[in-house]
Amino acid sequence: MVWADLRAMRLGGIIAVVLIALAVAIAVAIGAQERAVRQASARAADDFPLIIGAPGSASQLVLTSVFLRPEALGLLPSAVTEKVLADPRAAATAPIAVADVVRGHPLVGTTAALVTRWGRLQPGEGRMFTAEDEAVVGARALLAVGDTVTPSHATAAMSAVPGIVSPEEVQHRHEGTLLKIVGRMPATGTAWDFAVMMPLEGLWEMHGHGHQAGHPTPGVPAIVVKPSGVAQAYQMRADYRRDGALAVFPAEILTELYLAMGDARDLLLAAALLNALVVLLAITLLLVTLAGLRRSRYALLRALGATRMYVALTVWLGAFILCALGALLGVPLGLVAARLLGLVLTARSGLALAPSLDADDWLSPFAVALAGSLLGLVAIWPVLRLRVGEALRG
Amino acid sequence: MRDSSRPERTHPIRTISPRPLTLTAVRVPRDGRSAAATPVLDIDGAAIAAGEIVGLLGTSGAGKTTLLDVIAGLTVPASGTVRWGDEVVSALGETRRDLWRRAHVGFVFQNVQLIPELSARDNVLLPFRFGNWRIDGAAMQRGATLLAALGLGSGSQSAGRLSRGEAQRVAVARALVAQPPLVLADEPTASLDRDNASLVGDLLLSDARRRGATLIVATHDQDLVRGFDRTMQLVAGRIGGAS
Repeated sequence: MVWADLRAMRLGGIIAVVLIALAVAIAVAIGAQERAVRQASARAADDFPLIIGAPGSASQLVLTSVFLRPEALGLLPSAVTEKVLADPRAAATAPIAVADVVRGHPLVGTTAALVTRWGRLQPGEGRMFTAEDEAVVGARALLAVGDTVTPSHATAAMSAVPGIVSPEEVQHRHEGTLLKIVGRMPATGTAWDFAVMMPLEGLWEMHGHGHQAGHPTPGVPAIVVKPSGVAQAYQMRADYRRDGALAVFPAEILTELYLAMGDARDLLLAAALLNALVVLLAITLLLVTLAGLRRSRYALLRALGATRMYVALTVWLGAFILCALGALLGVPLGLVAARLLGLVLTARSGLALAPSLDADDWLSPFAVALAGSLLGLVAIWPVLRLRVGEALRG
Repeated sequence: MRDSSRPERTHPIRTISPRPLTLTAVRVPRDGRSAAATPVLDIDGAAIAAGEIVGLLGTSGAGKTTLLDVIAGLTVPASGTVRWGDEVVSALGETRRDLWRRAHVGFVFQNVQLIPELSARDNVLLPFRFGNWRIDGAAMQRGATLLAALGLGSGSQSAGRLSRGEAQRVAVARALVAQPPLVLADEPTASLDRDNASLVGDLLLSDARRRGATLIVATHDQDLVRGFDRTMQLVAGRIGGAS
């Protein structure tokens, strides 16, 4: 009987399932996407235990160093730079300068140690740079080993898209500078996969700050520090928070970002669930109306010997099946949406986003199915009030 | 009118226990009207013997349908009692009445009332759905036999695509399939052509005779009640005469 009832709804039933599935999919996609961004960004920051830069925005320091967001950072004073690089509490240090652009790719001046992620990675193609006019590229960079390129000054207005040479880039070229691509690094699932990486000294040279022995080390925008221990990490973070420096653990900044993201996610989830509730209410209204229109059908069942509970259960099961089916379909639909969005974001940011489901993602469909089953009780109201004789004739 | 050459139906016959039907001081008022207004039904007393076949005659609005509803427990009278043997049907609670009706009553409705999304066969087997997860083989066989006897083949066609005559035959098969001891039919031949009316009338009468079931048919059709044990005339909700 339930099947016959659902068949009688025809297109209305299909639309109800699709609407519920879309409402659930939005909630699932938001949750899965937010979690994927969190996991990918945490992975991206794994090789950046402590970052020291010039005083300013801690978030900006992390975003520029770890995620290569093109923002002009202040420079650490030479004295501080030298002090950090020579600090015995650091097991390893790597200055970073992100200032230029090569065919839409960010150009990073740093050390081979950071490029190899502290010795963990080796070029998958070619070799590591050994001279100031050599560079390696990230796995997803649209440049080939053997290419010779001329970098350009990045400007605030420049919107760099890998592989696309903008008019600004052409206008601000370091004329006469040639950089040879000698290697390609394996994928890291981070923004560095799109980067062109060269020795910091070469970058200084390109900007006319050639470092010569006996002269002070030029200031740098940021230094990535691998402290020798936890205590040393906290000491250095405390020490380099004054006298013209700012030390941050990227993890703490990311935690703040995640809190903000979490708030935004909660808000979006609440909006998505509210949307689902509105859809459910509309569908309940539809079911109540249909139950009213089908009074004679339900009266017939009663006249043939079905109890009131049997008929009510038939109507409720129909409503529940619609809601549960919609909720169930919404989960894979949401995952597909999150994965498609992940592909877009990965292409734009380099962050390897792989949205997947976890237990929390089943809460939304479960809540929708539960709400649907409760609202289904409303749909049986006309059935419970049915006066069989009248409804049969009428 | 009856076609004696029609083949015998061979579905197994259940042992039934028809009982006398008695109505005492049954009154059904009109909705929303004062108690003084003429009621839809006002029967001082009526008795139908177990296995009796009765035609219920009367003009439109005389109360024939309401009387069938009261007997089937679909409408509870404002006062009075309806007894099936010793059982006071009109005093049963709603669910008990549903269960009583399931066990005892087969009903043919004036406006056919099939579920169009189901096949003719599934419509016929509907009375078996309510108390069972599965329909047993004997019930399926009974349904198939009835469908074949009524010229409806296997009954696989959708009920929504049946002609009026075919639909009414399916409705009759549905009323008889569970072999109820009490069969009620409300204008079962209304709007049917002569052949279909004859087929339906034959089946109702022969089935009741064979099983010893009580049959009450509300109709305008004098031909239909030929061969019945008796007729009752309803006039403005009252039993006006019997023959």
